[in-house]
Amino acid sequence: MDLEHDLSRMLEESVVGLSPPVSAILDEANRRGRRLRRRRRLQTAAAAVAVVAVAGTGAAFGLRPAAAPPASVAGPTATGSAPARPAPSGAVLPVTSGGLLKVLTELLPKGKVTDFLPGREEDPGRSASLTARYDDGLSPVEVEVYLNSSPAEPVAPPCQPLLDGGAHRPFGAEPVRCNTVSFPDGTNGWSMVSPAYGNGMYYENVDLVRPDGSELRIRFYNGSGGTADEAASTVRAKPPISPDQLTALARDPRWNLRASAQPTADAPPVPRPSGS
Amino acid sequence: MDKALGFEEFAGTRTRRLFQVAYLMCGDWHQAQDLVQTTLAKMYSAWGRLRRGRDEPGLDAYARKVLLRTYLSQQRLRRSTEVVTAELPESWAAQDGGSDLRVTLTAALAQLPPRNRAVVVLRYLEDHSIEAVAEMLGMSNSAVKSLNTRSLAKLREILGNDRELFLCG
Repeated sequence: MDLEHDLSRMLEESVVGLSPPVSAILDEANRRGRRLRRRRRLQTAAAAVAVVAVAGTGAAFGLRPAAAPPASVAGPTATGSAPARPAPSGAVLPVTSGGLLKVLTELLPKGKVTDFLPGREEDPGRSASLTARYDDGLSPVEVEVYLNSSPAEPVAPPCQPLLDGGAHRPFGAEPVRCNTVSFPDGTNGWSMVSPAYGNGMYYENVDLVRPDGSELRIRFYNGSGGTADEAASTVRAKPPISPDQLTALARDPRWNLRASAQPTADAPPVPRPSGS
Repeated sequence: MDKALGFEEFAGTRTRRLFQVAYLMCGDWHQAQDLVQTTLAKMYSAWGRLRRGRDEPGLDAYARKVLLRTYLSQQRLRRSTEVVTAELPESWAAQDGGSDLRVTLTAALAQLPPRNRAVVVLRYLEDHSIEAVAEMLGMSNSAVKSLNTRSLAKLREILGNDRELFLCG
């Protein structure tokens, strides 16, 4: 009998025993989907803000003046051998996405931070998160920061790269790995390199539980675009800083933001999302 | 029906089949998992709009289209970074402990270009018509027929006597 007549049955039988990890796939799909939707909403909101600004009605809608913390920062700084940015003001910032952005831009090497997006479920004074793009001049990458001053639940089990090392990553990529880190002051956590998307994206991640119980997680991808538009995504061999530099960055005392019930007056305002 | 529940229900009941389709297209367990995750994530982000405009078969067809295009897009991106080797990588063979039939078929499909693989899987696993596959691929019916014919000829050549063994077994 001709192959055409047998192929359907052969293909069907060949996949009978395939048992994919359905719950893991669904969890990851939901996570990526939420992220994608946030990004789309941000783009819509940015377009709306631009229209309002052009119409000269920004003030009527309470848009903040340019005094907000710069969403685009170019300056010196230090991670590893990079030059240092200007010294911080010295004030301890509260736990807000604006505070996280300010510390992040102070600590990053020279470059631009754009596309700031505060976490959807921010709890000012207790937990905050952000996503942004950082461009060191080579190509922009996505950055995620999460800080919870008093996690209600135990920190998630460490060392669970999304996929194993068989995923497709660019030549020269950091090897997939996960290892624990600990420091004399009682800070513990783990450092991980994990594939992210099938288009070559992967990330470096450091997750620290500090002596006061707070959890800080910082993640640097090797590109931008994610699942939003594969055609527009760009990946590079490595994220702009190494895993060791990332751990050093996360250890900076400026991340010791002030936990409080309410955001205080000196809290940096949440910057408006910036367009790319 | 609640919007979030609707997506969960849809995704929960389709994940396994989407994974099977993805696996036969790409032949790699992890890439198949990533393809399904990406497909469902894209649908999640536009679920409200998708639900309004489509019934369940329409959603299934849309999921296949997203999966197919994501797969072809990834193949284009991978091409520049792939390393050519004389032998098939381990993932094509025994990585997931697959059956002999699965190992043989995935190895055979791996020798087809990505579009041909997609046509074979959609036509013979999913039982889509030439017209439906053409719509998903954004190609003419005659182009899909041509791809299909060439793919079958190549598979006949590759499978050869193996096919008789599986059919007899």
